[in-house]
Amino acid sequence: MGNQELHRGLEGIAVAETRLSTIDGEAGELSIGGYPVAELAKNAIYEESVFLLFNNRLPTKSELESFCTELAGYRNISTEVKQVLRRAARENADPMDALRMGVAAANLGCDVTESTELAKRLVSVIPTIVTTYWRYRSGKEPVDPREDLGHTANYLYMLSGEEPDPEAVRGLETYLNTVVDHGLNASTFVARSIASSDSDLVSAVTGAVGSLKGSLHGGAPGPVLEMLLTADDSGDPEGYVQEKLDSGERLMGFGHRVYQTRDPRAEVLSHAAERFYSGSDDRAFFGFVEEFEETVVSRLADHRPDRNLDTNVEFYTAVLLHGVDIPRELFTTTFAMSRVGGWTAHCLEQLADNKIIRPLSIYTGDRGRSWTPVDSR
Amino acid sequence: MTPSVFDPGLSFTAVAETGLSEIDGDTGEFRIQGFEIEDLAENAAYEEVVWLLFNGRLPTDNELATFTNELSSARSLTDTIYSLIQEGAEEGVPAIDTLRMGLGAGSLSFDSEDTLMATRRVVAICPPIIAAYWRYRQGREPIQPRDDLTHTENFLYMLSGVEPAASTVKGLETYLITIIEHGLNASTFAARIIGSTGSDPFSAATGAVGALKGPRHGGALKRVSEMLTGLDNGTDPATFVQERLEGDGSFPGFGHIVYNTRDPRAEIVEQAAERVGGKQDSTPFLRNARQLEAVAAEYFTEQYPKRQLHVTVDYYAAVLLSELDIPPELFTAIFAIGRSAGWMAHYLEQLESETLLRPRTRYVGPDERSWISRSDRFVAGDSSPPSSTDLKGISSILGTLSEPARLEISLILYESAEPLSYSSIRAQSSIEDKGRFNYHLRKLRRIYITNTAAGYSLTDTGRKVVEMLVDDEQLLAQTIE
Repeated sequence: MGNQELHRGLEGIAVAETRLSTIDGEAGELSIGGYPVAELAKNAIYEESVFLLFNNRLPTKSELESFCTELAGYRNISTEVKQVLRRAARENADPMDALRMGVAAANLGCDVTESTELAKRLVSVIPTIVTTYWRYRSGKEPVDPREDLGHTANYLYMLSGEEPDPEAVRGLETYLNTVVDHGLNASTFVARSIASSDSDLVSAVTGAVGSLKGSLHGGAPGPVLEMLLTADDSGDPEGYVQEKLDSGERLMGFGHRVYQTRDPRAEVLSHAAERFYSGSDDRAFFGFVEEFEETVVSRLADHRPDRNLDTNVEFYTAVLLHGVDIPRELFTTTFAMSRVGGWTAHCLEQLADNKIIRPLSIYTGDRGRSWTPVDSR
Repeated sequence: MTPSVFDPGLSFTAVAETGLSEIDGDTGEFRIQGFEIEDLAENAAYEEVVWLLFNGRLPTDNELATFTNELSSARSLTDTIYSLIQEGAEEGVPAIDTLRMGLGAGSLSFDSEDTLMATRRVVAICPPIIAAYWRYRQGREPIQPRDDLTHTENFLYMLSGVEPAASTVKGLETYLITIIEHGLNASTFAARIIGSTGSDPFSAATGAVGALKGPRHGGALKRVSEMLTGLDNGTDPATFVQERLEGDGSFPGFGHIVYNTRDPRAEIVEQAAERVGGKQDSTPFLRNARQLEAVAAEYFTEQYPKRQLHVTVDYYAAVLLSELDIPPELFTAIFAIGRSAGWMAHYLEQLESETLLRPRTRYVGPDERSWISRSDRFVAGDSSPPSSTDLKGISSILGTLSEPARLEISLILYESAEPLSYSSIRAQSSIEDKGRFNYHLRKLRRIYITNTAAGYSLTDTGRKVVEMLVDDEQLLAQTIE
């Protein structure tokens, strides 16, 4: 015990065996359920990706239909949860706090206890929580989910109250598939740790949502969009980049702790964004984005040759989500709406072959103290 | 990729330095900030130990008064949270889930951006959430907290509506202090992972409650209580122990993961139960629990001389809480009331270290696959069977079984009506070498067998395969002839 080695960030330690996804940081490859992320992202609907994670294979046509129907049946939230979300909106609570409140109470009005059913419940309920909160915050009444719409289309519908454009649905769907799972990032690790005590999936996903909120976790591309809009407005992107570098500020959307290459997800999302913008009125913005990316990557290579600061997933996430009209305040909650597929699949994997996660610590505090009564302190 | 160490429970890996507490599992000692736990439990008020965890030393009179006020002013809940709790109570949601719901919404109507204040808020609102839940369950209205009562008094007051007796307060307070903190157990670790991202105290506490809920963690209290209640009617303890262990094999309240001795906290709580009961050893509940402990300890020493199976804090906590007339439905939630301070102290420690916890996985999934269009996918019942290249996965799954040792393990599990512990499969199997045994057991996991809290058992697939083998008309019968 005395000479225990400390593994502060757990970087070299594997805590779980998983079949869900694998990352090769050097080659810049990510595969989900055995499929390269590019294949899955462009071909699947989100429900199909989730089925793949839960069952380790793609569904047949009829399996997919019944899976979609099951998911659609789990979308409603109870009156009390709506009240909580209205209150949160009125108090201008952070959208991630509102999501935590909603997910923590996702069991209300939903009488299931089987882990596999709770997994579907959680996947389905997040879009309703997020949009209900957002409608209240925008001074509008929430829109009830529509069972005839798919997961992604229904989300956009509940957000705007109008049936969405198929190209926007496809764009968002590609994003949701792309980020559905990514190894043991902190939020997924929390979910597995909670499940390791044989707790339930609502608890595990609530914990995951809580950790996703933290600024050290990825999945928060809001600042990337701010940067792009400012740089575009400035009319002088080169000058903007130079100024940031000179003042030692970070350029958002570059560099990843796992990938030493361009993030494979950035590749997928840039294609999706290109496709989406080429059919939209905002084609010029995408042209600017591509140029800006090139400028930054080459300038960063000159500026920090010692580090790999290539484009990460957040860069094109911001571009794509902005394109399909997701308000930037909801970027992180939209990430959660995708990742819940990975969180729940990891929990099911943990529960199937469980061992409690209980690490050691090294004591560095005082020793040998004894009680002093309050008046002699 | 850097080669990584595989440690699925992290039981060999130290992930943090802590100044909060120190466990010596071999000598059975436990200290908080350098104070023996016995010392704190005997002398301190709950608020004092919370302050100690947050600040690293004992508070002065003034500091304690200020802190007590801070807790009081952070204790009130908005109507929206009360409605949420009421709905939980009416739907029959367990107390610990309702606590998760309440804490999850704990940031509502709390206008401080200050992280330290939010950690106080977490500690302050656990009691009113649980008390309100219980009142609603009884069909009564919740009772508002009173500023002139201490943390522990307030809880008991909000629960019953009457000012509690001093001896009851002392009994509960002893318990809350004894379990206030205990290293990196699953719930505390969950709080630290959440803190490691820079997230807020409500998120960390909500996650921790979620982990505590699990039967492998906080759930033990409830099981002990059920066990001891079952013993109440004059059963002979020796018969009882034997029947339980030969039955489902579980004996809650025995064998702590970090102690090779009796859990030092058990003693403290046992004595507190004795004091609450009045004169020594006078209540039947405590007397029965003690007799059962003695018989069980003897049984374990005989049966498993190499393993250290001693009583844990949960065992006597169930006795103490019962003596205090606290409903068993609230036991796990009350543990959370005590532990919330430990969670928050660890959360702050992790936050200050600014280190993200991001471990690795070991990939055991399929090799690269290529996309199959929806209409080309095959499962049993569809018309056109796939080609051999698409069947590699299945063929390797079947290959796993083609090994006598693995078939033997599968048959052992098939023969047992209940899940089996690791040691009991080992004992029944003819595979002597431990490494070889572990290897084959591992190979069978996931597809053919699973391991849950209750032990190992066959999966549906595993059961089907073995059924095919052992059916009279089938393979095993033919080959064994």
